[in-house]
Amino acid sequence: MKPKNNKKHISFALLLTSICAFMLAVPAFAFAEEEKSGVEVLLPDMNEFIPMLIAFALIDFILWKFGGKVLDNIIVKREDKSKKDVEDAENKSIESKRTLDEYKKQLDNAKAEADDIVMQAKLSAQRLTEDMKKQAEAQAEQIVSKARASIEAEKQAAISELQASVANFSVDVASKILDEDFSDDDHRKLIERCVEKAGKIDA
Amino acid sequence: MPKSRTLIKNEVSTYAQFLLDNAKDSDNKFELAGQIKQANAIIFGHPKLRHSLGDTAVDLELRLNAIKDIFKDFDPNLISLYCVIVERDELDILHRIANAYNELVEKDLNIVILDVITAVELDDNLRKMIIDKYSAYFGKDVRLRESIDPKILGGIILGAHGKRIDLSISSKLEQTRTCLSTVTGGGEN
Repeated sequence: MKPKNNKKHISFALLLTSICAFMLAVPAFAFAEEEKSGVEVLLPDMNEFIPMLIAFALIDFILWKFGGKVLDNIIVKREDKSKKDVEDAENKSIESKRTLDEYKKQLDNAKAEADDIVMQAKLSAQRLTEDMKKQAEAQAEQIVSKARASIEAEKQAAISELQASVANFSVDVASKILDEDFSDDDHRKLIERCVEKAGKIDA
Repeated sequence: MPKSRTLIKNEVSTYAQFLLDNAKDSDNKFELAGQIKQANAIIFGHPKLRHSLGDTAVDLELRLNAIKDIFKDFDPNLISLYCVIVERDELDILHRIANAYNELVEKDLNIVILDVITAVELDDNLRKMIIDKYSAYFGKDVRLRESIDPKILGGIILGAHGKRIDLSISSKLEQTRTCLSTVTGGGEN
């Protein structure tokens, strides 16, 4: 709204107010006159009209002269304040929008970080699971290997023991046979064969 | 304080030379070599005797009397030597003395002493056969130092100059026992 239009409206309002004020100020004349009849009723009474007009003009002048500037200042101030309020509101709106955008951005970043963290956690869990699985497999393999080695060692020990028993038994039998069944002549024949085969003593 | 090697070697040579110098004749010299070997076998074959003879806590007189009693049938010079050895607590060098004396006798008599161990006594044919074979081999006269040991079960063990050939049945059986005991699974995986 333009300030000129405002002034016109204000002036018009002041005029109406002045008329009303004047009429209220001089009610005695209205009730003091005699009763009118016919067309006279419609026509203004000059005795009342002129003072009222003078009073109105006077009030209008006073208001125009002294009240206009005050009212203009008030209106300008209100306009300025309104403009400032509007600007502030717009600024706040922009600020709010920017803040909202920032919040949205932060939210998006937070969401991305959360997704990343979840992904990392999943990967870590997967790696941990795989490591544990490998470790368990290695341990199992180690246990099996140890068990195999142990079984093999026991088997070899049993075989060795059996072989030793068989060897001892065989040698004992051979010794017994030689001791009992060999005559002195048999011994001497054996000695003879040994001497024939015997090689160098210093070798 | 432990003695030096040179000192021990000199001592051993002195003892061996003493025995050789005091032997009556060549037979006695040869016989003495057998007696030393036999005496050593008795002492070192009985750990308790070896320990008692070397135990300074036991009265020396008792130890010397033990030597004289055990070896009363041996050469008197040998008994005297063993008494000195016990008195000086030098039993550990007895084997060295035996070897040194063997070398001295072999050198002195220009022979080779061949130790022969069998399960039964040798007859003359076998003796001749062995002597002929090893005389030709050593290029010297060979004299046999025989001993009978039924533990070898059969065959013969020959030894000279500190080395020996073991052709005994007991040795063969022991080799067989070792072979049978250590043989692997025979193609088993």
